[in-house]
Amino acid sequence: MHKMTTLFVHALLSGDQFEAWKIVQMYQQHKNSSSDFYEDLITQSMREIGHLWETNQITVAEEHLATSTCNFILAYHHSKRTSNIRYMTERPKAMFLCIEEEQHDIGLKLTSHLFEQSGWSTKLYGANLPLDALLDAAHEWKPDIIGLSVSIPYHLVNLKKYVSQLENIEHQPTVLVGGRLVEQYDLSPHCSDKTLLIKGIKQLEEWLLNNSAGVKVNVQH
Amino acid sequence: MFNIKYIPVPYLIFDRSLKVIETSEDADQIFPPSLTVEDLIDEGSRNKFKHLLEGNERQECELVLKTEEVPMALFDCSFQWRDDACHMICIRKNSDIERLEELVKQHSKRLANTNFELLENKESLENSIMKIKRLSAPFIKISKTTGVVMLFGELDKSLIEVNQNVLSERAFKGEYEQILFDFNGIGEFEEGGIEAFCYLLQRLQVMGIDSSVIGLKPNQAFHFNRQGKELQASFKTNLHDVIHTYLSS
Repeated sequence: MHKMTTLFVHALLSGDQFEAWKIVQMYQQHKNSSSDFYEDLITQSMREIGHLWETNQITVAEEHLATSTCNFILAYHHSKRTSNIRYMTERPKAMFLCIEEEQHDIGLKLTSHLFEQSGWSTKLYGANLPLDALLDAAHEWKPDIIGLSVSIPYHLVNLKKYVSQLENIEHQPTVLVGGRLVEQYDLSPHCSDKTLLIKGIKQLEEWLLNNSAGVKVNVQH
Repeated sequence: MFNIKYIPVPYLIFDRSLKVIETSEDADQIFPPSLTVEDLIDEGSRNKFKHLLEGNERQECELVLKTEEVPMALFDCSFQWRDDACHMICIRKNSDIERLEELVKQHSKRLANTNFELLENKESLENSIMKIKRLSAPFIKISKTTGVVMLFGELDKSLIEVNQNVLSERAFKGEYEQILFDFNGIGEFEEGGIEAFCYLLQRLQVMGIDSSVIGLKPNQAFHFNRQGKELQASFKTNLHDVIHTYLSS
């Protein structure tokens, strides 16, 4: 594991927000793109934290502390990235959520932040949103994209139901599915041929580059 | 064999093929009926469990197990092999984790409402202060061998620390023999400032450069005196007299 990731994992597990932010600043001296930061530092660190639990070196309580610290870092980073953005056109809309009972929402947060930094208007519903509430929200707001995250195999049984109902909404939003399981398994049997399966941050970044052409963003530093 | 049925904790015994041999009544109530212990373990915990089973010594770990009530629940598990039977106790981690999860959720909600502008302003303010400090010790050449450092603001540790490398380098490269530190622009003395200043003077002296302190006010002289520092420097009253002495010599 990269030395900076090791230091970052240590700061997250200690709940030390300021130390963690210092490491982010050090990282950004080398690489300044959000997608690199999300991939190299955040994703790798959260994977390492999962590995530490699996090898019996930390408890779930420590994992929760790390997640909470990571949430702070993500929120702060995103606020810095968007504070100077001026949106020049009407923005396309994207809505994000974890499927029912799914509690792992860091990946979803990254995705929503990347959309917003590319000029989209987003709504992040986070973990544990029942399908009925989601359908109501989607009817009301009419998002162009509805992003779902699934990272626990047990929750796959619900995925098909979510995808089919969401793709049948009147204004026909595109459903995007991401999360750890998309990288590990072929989830196409749980989706339709219209569903976008996104295997990682780099693929998402590419998709955003190709599909945010109408979004004019004026970043003033 | 000893009957484990009435042991008042979820207790299971399984063999090398992971087949469940015996269970306590508590285990029967909590877990769904299962042929193997593996059936009880959530997919995300199976590798961890199998890896720990390889050791013969007693193991303690957290595992996510399936229960009659919910498909995933966190347990503290202890297990140990005795001959070809593994004895396992599983204690549900209830309230502690739920409380933590609740706290994490609250943090997330609060984060959404945090005014990050405040933090950003604090950061930019700190950067500005450092810039001001860097500009608060200008080095002026007054003769081939003498330079003056005009100090401004509060004498604190950071004023000296952000400037000491630049000053030492400038004094060394310019082959100066004497540096005059003008305290006329200095207001308060902050903790650690005098120590840092003394360290800078020692550093200059090691480089063969003499230092003089100019324009110390009575209360500042008192500080130097009170701290008991023996400064490696001479003291002069004001810059005008010093320059006059140099020009006339």
